[in-house]
Amino acid sequence: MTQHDPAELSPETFAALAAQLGVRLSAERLDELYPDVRALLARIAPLWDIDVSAVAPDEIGETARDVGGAA
Amino acid sequence: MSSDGTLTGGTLAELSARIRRREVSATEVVQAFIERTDELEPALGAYITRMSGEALAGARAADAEIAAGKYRGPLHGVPVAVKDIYWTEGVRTTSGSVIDADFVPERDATAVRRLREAGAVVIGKTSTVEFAFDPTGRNAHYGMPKNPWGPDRMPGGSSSGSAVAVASGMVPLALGTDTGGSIRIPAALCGITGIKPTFGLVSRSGITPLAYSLDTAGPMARTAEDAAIALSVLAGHDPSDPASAMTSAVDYTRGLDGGVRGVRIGVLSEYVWELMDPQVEAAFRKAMSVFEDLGASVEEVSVPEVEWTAVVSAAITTAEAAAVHGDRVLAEGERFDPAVRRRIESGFFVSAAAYVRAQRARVLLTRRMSEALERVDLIAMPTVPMPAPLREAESTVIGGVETPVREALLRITRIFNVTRMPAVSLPCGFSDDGLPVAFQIGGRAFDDAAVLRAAHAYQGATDWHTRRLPGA
Repeated sequence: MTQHDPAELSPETFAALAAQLGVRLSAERLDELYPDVRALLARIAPLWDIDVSAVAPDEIGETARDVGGAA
Repeated sequence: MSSDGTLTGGTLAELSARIRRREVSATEVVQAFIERTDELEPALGAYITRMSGEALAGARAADAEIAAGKYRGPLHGVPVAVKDIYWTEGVRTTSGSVIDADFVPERDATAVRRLREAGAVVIGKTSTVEFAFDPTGRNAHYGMPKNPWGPDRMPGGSSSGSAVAVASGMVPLALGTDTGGSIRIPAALCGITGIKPTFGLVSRSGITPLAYSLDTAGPMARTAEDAAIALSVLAGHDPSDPASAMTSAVDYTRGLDGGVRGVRIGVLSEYVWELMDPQVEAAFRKAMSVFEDLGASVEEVSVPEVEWTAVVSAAITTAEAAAVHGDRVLAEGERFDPAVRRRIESGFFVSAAAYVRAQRARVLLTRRMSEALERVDLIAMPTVPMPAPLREAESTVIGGVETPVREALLRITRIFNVTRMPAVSLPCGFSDDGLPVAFQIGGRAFDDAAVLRAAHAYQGATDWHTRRLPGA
């Protein structure tokens, strides 16, 4: 599985991922949550197609004031 | 007196002027709104906690001060409702959750404290989606308020109760919060005016957070003028909110009558129109022609990066919601609304790399929008792409395309959350079946005065904002 290919997120992989992340949920809860997580990861997958190289990671705290505000 | 002869039918500005002139007492005003709420609340369900006793005591105190020549300003003696995620000293603040059903804060949120210091009288705590995490207005614990314009229609959320209370004449002013559209969506569906201020302009201290890099707080009222009066009190630096901007006090009513002659209004040429009810688009285009008649120019602007809005917003909001509420959802998950619980839990699975990438994309999109706002002064677009959907609808058909309701509601409003720019939503018509239709005007960061000025100019030339339900 790649980080940006949620289609490859099997239920088993999802359960293992939850354990790795320290998300302690029952098997029943994981079953309930699986479709939602898969949908969310699919929704945000296009992030990896966006060229964000113009913004350094340490610029993400930039405030609205810095981008054209008058305050 | 309002045009319909009632105290509750008036705007905040009208009521305020009458209180200042002592034509009516604050007690009479507050009593009138309490009685109207007694009449309508059982059917509409806008409030989680009413504060009638405290409000009448506050109104009497306001009358005594005014009689003694200590008039505090345009909010003195005016009733206001507060979304139930704003902390209120000594009054429970549920955040729409049963987990916090008995939470009684020891202090007011900064925004509430500022309203009280300006003499406003808090009349109740309005319904909210649990932890403000849904745009429909649904709440599994306290119920979903009814949209006054159609009891079978959703009110929008998450500031559902505040919108319903203002729209039905139960209060002239209410506070909401807006992380993805939670002021503007219910304002649009309920036919009132609401502004999401520039991020950092109004303190969030003492407001239960959802997504701290997007959360904003602001007023909901009948008119842009009323919103400007309230924002003048609410705005300003607060060291207890880490994101609070170093701004000084601004009177947003000053220059409100300046009009829009010579103002350049941009209309996005992409994204917004890919999913749009033709009735909403027609009302929006008519609104733009009103601006042209008022002397503004309207032109297309292109910001292709707005296509990223939903992706960026989803990654940031879910990750931050998990950061804020994750411990409680793991410990007491069964006490959450199941849908809200899943949304929060999903945030655990947004990787740190994805979150940072979303924030980088957010900054880049903000820069592109700022560049567009060098070519034009304002950017306008519909607030939501359709009139209020049916209450229980999970999907809706827009322009022949079946779409999930949540995604449709959030689709356009989130642009101004992600870019942290101010945007005001205001009514611009009605659908064929009598439901309000609205548009929003966005502007440069910290130029909230410009979006309010344009909205006020529009409301001076149209009467959509004056349309009332019978007796409202």
